[in-house]
Amino acid sequence: MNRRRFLTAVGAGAAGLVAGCSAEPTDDGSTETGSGSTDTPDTGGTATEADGTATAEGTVTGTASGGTPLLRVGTYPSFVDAPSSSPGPWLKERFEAEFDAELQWFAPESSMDYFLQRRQQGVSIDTDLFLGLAPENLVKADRAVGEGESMFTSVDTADLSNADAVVGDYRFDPQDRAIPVGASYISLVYNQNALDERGAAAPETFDDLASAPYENGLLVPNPQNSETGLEFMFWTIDQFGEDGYLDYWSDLMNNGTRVLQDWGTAYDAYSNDEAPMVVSFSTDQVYADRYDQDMARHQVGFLNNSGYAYLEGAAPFTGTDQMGLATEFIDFVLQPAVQAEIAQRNVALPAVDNAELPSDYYDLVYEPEEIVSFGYDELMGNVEPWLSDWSRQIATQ
Amino acid sequence: MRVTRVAERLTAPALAVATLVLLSLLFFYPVGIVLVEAVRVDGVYTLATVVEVLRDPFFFGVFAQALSDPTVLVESFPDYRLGLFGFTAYQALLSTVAAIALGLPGAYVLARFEFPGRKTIRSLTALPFVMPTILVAIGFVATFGANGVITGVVQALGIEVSTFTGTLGIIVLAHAFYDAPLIARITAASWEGIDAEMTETARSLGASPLRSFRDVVVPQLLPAILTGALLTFIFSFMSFAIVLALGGLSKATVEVWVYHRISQLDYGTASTLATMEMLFSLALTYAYLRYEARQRATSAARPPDRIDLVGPATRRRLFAWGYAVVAVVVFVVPIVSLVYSSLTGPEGLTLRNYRFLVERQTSAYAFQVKPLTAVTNSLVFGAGTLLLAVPMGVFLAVVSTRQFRGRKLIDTLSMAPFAVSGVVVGLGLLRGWVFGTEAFGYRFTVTGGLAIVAAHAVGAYPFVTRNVAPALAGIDGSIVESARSLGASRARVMLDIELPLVVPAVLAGTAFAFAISIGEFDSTVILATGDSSYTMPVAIERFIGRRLGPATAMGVVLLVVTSVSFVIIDRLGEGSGFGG
Repeated sequence: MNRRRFLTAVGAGAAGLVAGCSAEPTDDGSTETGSGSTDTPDTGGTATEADGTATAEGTVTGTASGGTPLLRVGTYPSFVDAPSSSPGPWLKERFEAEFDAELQWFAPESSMDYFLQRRQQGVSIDTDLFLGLAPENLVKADRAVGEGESMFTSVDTADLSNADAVVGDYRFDPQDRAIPVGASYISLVYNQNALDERGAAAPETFDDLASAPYENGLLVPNPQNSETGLEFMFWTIDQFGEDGYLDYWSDLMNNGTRVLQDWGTAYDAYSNDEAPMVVSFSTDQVYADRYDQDMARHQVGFLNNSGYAYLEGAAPFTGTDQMGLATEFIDFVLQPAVQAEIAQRNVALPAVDNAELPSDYYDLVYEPEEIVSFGYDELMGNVEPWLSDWSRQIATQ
Repeated sequence: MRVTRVAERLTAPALAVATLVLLSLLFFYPVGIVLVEAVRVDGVYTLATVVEVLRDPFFFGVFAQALSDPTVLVESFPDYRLGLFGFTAYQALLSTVAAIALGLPGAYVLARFEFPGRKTIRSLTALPFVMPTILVAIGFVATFGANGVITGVVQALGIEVSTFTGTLGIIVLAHAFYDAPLIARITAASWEGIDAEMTETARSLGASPLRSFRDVVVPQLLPAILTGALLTFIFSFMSFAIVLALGGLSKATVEVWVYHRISQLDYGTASTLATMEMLFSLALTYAYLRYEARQRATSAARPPDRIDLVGPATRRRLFAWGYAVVAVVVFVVPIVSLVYSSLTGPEGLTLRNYRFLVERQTSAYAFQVKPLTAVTNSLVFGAGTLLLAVPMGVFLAVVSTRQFRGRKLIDTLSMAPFAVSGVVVGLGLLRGWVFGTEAFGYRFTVTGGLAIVAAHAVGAYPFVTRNVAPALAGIDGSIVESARSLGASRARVMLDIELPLVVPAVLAGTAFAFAISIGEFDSTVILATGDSSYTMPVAIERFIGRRLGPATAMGVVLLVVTSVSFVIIDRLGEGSGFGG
């Protein structure tokens, strides 16, 4: 072992590691969101280099190079980076083509929780708005930051040219912080071939799912990690009440229902024929059609003639210094043509009633007779106890 | 001359301080941030959460019930409610037994037989162990799921079964798959070190082969087997992705619960559980280290000759061949199933999953995950990990072989990362360093990439220590004493005599550290928040959507990179005496 060479190598490497660290004085109010962004250094040698690493982590916002306004939009990963067709890239291109602004996506793995954690730690969020906020996310955020404060700030709907077209059932924030930008319905997706083999008809009610013909037949994404699973749980609470849903779940589990990590895992397992039914979306056939799959394996089933509405909103973060641009962005996203395109790329529904989708799109999208969804007030203070009781029941050994 | 002496004398304490400082920054401080929440509610320190958890039958089953009503121990005997902790320990125990049953024959074949490819296979014994759990899960589903190869075979035998997934059995088997190679590896190394003369002596004194095996070989193997068993137990106790993916919530373990509590921002319960989990694992580690100190074997003067695997059928050869068949089924089938599923689609055999990777590489946007960037990031983080983990691991090995008061404590603390889950380390680093820490009027922050390297180094250095410490302890004391009597300082003896003698062990530890960095998922996924710090396992997770295809293709890329880099590093050790 050549000691000198070893020490030199370690020294060089250590220098590289140190380059990833930085220290800023705390007395300039750097914990305030967006403050000081007007004097962002965008010229200068070492200063820019030092901030280069910081920008990747998002400590600097405000203007992009050349004075173009920069809008940082947080979202969940698959909105910008799904293996199929995420709307993110298209949305960025169209927005930048129409406005003199740069759109920067930021999609941390833990999605909204990342921003909540930063907020709880008193660290700046440095993102202007979040796209893809579910009602329960909003409730969670409001519970996490405490009384009288909010992660998000209200949007003046008068500034949104297409606001009147937003479907009434889809509005979920009484304070208009989150503006609905997309929807879909939680439903069953089932494999008719596999049910035929069992000699079972399509399940029509919640009680069917817990009965003998459907034994070991259902895959559910874990409500703890997945909006899809969580909203399916809400759906059962709507059907059986706060006092009855746990008993129903007990029947479901005794019938061999499996709770899997998240929607992707559950859907994979379903695709691998691990079970004939999965909790998914009523737009499933749009996707199946796109890849020329056997429609018998992509049948959509509503239970008790109802379906739970999965809603997504866009909400500006409190303290953003780009409120004007953020509002313009939401206005843009609500345009009928943009809504139609996002819906198709996200395999979902538009949040407005005047979006023009291809005539055959609705042939493949199923809508329930009765739309179920809990509003903000019903969710507030209930999500955690419901979920906690449910989790303990499922995990009890 | 005197200055040099002083400098040399100061080297060891300086290194000790440096390592402890690094450990504090990379591990104790971030984890401390998370653990403090176990005893702090709304800014007030209290044991309320801890007591609440201890008294909750959901967590401690019959033991919690017994706290308020001891008669329950008698009344419900033996049908005890296990609780989350009980169930976790139970599955870990089953997993450990299964891993030993699967790993020991492997150690025997590797240590006592000669066959082409033996060294490569021995290198690969570490591969399933460092395989990202997400791949283990996919491979096991492809093998034991509803459409799985093995499921099909079982069904063909007339046994009615729809799928093995979601059962305790499949979790135990996956853990055995994961940890048996580790047991084989550690035990084989120890087996090779058994002096042939001792067995021959026993035989010449009239002992039967079985008797000499039981009385001579087994006692010498026990420390290695127990090392492997302890590691397997702790790993299975803290297993995360495998339990999550194969068992679902109904087979949740403590670790899975910690993760879920964190995702509900319930840091109080999460921290309390993580602390209890950690204390339990640390206690095991401490007990083991005390045991190991008394058991350390010295290396063999003359290892016995290996038996050729090919030749006339003897009982030994039949056993070895029989084991080879089992090993192929258990170890190779899941990997082959993974590769196979990357090459198939609804239309049959296809390359479109790989085409997807190439398209992603050429046309993806900056904010999307590119396969080649993921490979590069993984390799860079792997190199960074070695830079931190190897010196830290080696030095802690040195400390752990010295005699002084409190050595066991330092020893145990240095093994602490074994006892803390990746989820907690990742969360602590995120909250402590990535979000920033305020001190002396400054807010100190590090980038996500650096935090990832820190998390990997923390997870990896104990492997270096565990490889190097036994080798250091095995060095003949008389060599050290001669050098000292000839006037060499302790530091000089260390650098010029002891370290060169343990180079093979250092290289083995390096290989482990690198592979662990490449495959680490739990903390990386928490820390890879930027667009530029994703690794291969994170890319796999991103590529899982409605179609498994692209993810399995990325999985195969990871498999190849891990295997190649691992075999290369492992082979580097050969020339210097490391047995491949």
